[in-house]
Amino acid sequence: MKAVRTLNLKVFRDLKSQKWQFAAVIFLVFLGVSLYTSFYMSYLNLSRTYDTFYERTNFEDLAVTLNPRSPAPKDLLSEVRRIDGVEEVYGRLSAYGTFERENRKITLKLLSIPEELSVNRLVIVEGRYPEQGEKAVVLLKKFADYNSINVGESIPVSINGKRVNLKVVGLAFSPEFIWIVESGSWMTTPKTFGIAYIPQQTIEKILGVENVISEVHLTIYDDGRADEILNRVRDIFADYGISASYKREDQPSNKLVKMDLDGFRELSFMFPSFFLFISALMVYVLLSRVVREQTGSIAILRALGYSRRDILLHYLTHSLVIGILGSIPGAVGGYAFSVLMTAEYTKLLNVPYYIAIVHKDVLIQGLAIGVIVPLVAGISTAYSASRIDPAIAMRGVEVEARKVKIDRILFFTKKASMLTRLALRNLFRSPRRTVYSLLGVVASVTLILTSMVFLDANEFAISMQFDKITTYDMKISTSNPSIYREIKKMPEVERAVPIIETWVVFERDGVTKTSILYAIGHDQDLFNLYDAGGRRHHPPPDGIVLPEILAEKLKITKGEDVKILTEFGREEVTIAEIYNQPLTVASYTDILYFSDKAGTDFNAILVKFRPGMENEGKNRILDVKGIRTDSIDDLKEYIDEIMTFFYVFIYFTLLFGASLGFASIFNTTTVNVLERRREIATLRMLGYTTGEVAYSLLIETVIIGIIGIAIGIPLGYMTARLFFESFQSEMYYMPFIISGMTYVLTAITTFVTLLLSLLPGIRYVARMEIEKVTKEMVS
Amino acid sequence: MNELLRLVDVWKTYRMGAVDVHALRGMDLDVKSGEFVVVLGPSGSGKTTLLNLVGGIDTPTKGDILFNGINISSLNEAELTIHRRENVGFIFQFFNLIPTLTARENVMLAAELVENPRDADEVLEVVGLKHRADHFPSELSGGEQQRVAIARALVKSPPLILADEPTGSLDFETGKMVLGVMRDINRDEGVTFILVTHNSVIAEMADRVVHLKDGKVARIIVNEEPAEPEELSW
Ligand SMILES: Nc1ncnc2c1ncn2[C@@H]1O[C@H](COP(=O)(O)OP(=O)(O)OP(=O)(O)O)[C@@H](O)[C@H]1O
Ligand SMILES: [Mg+2]
Repeated sequence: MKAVRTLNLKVFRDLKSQKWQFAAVIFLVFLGVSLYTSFYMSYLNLSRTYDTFYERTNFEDLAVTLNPRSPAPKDLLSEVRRIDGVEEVYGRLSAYGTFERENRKITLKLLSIPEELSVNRLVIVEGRYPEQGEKAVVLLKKFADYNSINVGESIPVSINGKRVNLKVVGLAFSPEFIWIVESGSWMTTPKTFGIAYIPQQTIEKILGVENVISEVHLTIYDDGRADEILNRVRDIFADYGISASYKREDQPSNKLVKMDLDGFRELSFMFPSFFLFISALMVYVLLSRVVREQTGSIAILRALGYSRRDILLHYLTHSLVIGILGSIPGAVGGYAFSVLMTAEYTKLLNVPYYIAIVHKDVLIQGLAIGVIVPLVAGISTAYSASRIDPAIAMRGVEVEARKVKIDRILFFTKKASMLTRLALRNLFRSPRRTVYSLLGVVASVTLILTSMVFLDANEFAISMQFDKITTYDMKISTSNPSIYREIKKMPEVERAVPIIETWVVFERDGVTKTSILYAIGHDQDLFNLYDAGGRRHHPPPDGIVLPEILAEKLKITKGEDVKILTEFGREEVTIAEIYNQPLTVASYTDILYFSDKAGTDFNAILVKFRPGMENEGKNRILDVKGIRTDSIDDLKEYIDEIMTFFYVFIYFTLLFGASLGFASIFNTTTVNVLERRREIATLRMLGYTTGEVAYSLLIETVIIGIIGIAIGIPLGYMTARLFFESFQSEMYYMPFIISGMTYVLTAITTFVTLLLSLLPGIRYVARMEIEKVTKEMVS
Repeated sequence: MNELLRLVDVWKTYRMGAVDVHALRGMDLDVKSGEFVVVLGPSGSGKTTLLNLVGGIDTPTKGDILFNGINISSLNEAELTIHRRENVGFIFQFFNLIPTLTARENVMLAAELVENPRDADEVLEVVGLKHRADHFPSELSGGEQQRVAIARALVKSPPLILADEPTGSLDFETGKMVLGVMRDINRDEGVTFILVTHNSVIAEMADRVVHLKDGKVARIIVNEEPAEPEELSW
């Protein structure tokens, strides 16, 4: 339509005349859209990466593992195969070995493989699959890379006291170890722990056994029958001491993978909602101000013969342009960001590839959301613009009926200077504008606080974990009393404490929950029990401590008895106490209480070395045969590495949060100044200096800042809490901690933002050509 | 000359809380095509109200307004929009130009509304502002702004132009010049003018002078020999 041309030109002139304000809104739409597309696409792409990886490798549906010391005859596998609904079965033997590399002892978990894998197939990225009987291994790619082990190299591994040279013939990825974790144990670091696949016959020969297995992994036809089939598999192996059994959803690596995936999905909705909500608010504020300022122009347009519809569309075009300018780069940037995020994130994982397809539907959704939100936000303003009565608007009168009342309220300012009074009066004169300014401050405080909470909580959790909870230097997995005696006598060892550590399945009215159970001594201080608030506890002498999150899911209360299944069999225990611990979702009990039930005194030893003797101690322990060790320092290092990604992520959030705050405060403040240019021009004409006018603006801003922060901090606390709760999972518990410093920093950041965003307004006042404004006034 | 406009017993009442303000109280008026009518009257006598009603940006409380025989007082909003678009050129008392558009763009804004508009540069030339076409309103003097408004009214070549105090904020010389432009358009192109003013001197250039008082026509004076704008002095 021809009639639209000059009117469209006006849209761009309008945008240009308040470019910073519009840029701020466009930026928020950009952030909202790019966060949505990047997170949602990352979610889809990661999800697809895992799915195709799982599908390609025929990832297990169920698994049962036995105590490696009492393997079961391989023949039992045919019984498993006969179970109705079982598709493929993979039985294997597992053993631990160690080897030395660059003066480091590395534990190798050896897993046997048949001639051909049907379940949990390996994706060999270098080298080949070993022949049966060949003294060869396939290593996990990331582990080999981390320790610079190449294909063709031989590594001298000691297994059960025997030294064997194993040739590395291939490097591979396995769907079982996207994250290298074992059930019932902490995360491991590739620095000291690796997985090696070895031909069945080879390992049998080394171990001196024949036709035995200690693990069975299988796929089934119908997921709905998983529990039933798992029970039947367990029954088959019941006599051999089951150490773990799980469905795919509880498979340790997959569980972590899915947890992160859920995080991505959740963020892809929560983040953008926040940004788009604020941007909608700002579109409303900005457009209302534009329309208010342009009532005269609207009257002219209407008098010239532009219809109501033309006016409505004209102001909606403003929204549309905001939407388009924000969401197109938003979608493109979101895609790029998604590729970057997926790439960086998968670097932490053991996956052979990652998928980074462009999801057109997500891009379109992102674009649509980015365009629709400003349109909806602008619709009421555009509508009221189209309803402006040209005859009335042409008279150009502003009604100020509230004045009298406000002056009565402001009686206490009688003594204050005219400028202070003016500032106070302004706050009351347009309550709506004041409320918007307040909302901007509140939103900013809320966002900054919410992102800071993650930093606080994380820092708290890590320091709790390593400075208070686990204060040992090394953990040795063994239940051999003579090894315990041997370690205790070592000159480098200051203290050695036995504990029991096992996976545990709670069962209650058909609901089952898996967790870790630590049975620890009452009077030791190498493994300590704390609650989420940071208070130290001792394990209850006759019962277990259950984390709240599990108690809720299982609907268990204090004092009740509950059935549990651990690697030591089925037991019944009493729930002595319920409270969360920082970081881990684990259950605790006294070792004396539990060793009775488990029928073993311990299955791990915690060691603290004498100061300065850590290295010698470590090396001496590593020479002990038939044990698995974990060093706390190595773990710490690895966690730091992983955390780097999350820190970068949190810093980005913080940056986005601060920019959202800045954008909204900037807009409300400058719109406030711009809306009052006539009044300001009048003040300047009367002879007030720039400084005096700025002072009046400052008073107003400071009052808004103080009220905004006062409302924003409790509100931010609640939002952060809500946000935070939604991130709790059954694997990790993050305590909700906000340090006093965080409040102070949030308040300062907000105030600085507030004052900074006042600068353009002050500059405007200083540069204002009074004559220009007054000319607009009369014309 | 045939009749362009006829007002019959037109009332306009504003409700201000409990009291009624009668801006017009039973106005009768005829305007012929090609006439140059000047409306005089004290402040508050209903001059602007009259223009608003004739121009279709407001509707009468009572009475009929016939434009070319069509009763515009019974038109709906959409029909009034078309009336404004096709029949009327406005020159307002206040707020004449869109501040974010240049002089030419302000004129274009009106031109784009009709089928066969006049050339924007040409009408700017008519008001003597071709050299200022690319200036924004804030870069123009008050008189120049008013002349852009005249150009904008002209560009649609409407049969009727309504001007509310077009010289109100102009100095004597500029005012005379603006009036001259209007008179020429009226003569050369047969455009009907209704010009509202406080200034009785301007009445000398009218074909007919309508005096308003308290929302009614007090008297009408016909100028047999209207003066040329250049001859006016105040
Ligand atoms: N929207 C309105 N609400 C209430 N009263 C109004 C409104 N518009 C105009 N009036 C009143 O109607 C009367 C006529 O107003 P109008 O603007 O037509 O006067 P005018 O002759 O143009 O005066 P001036 O020469 O001062 O411009 C005035 O008394 C005015 O107060
Ligand atoms: Mg008037």
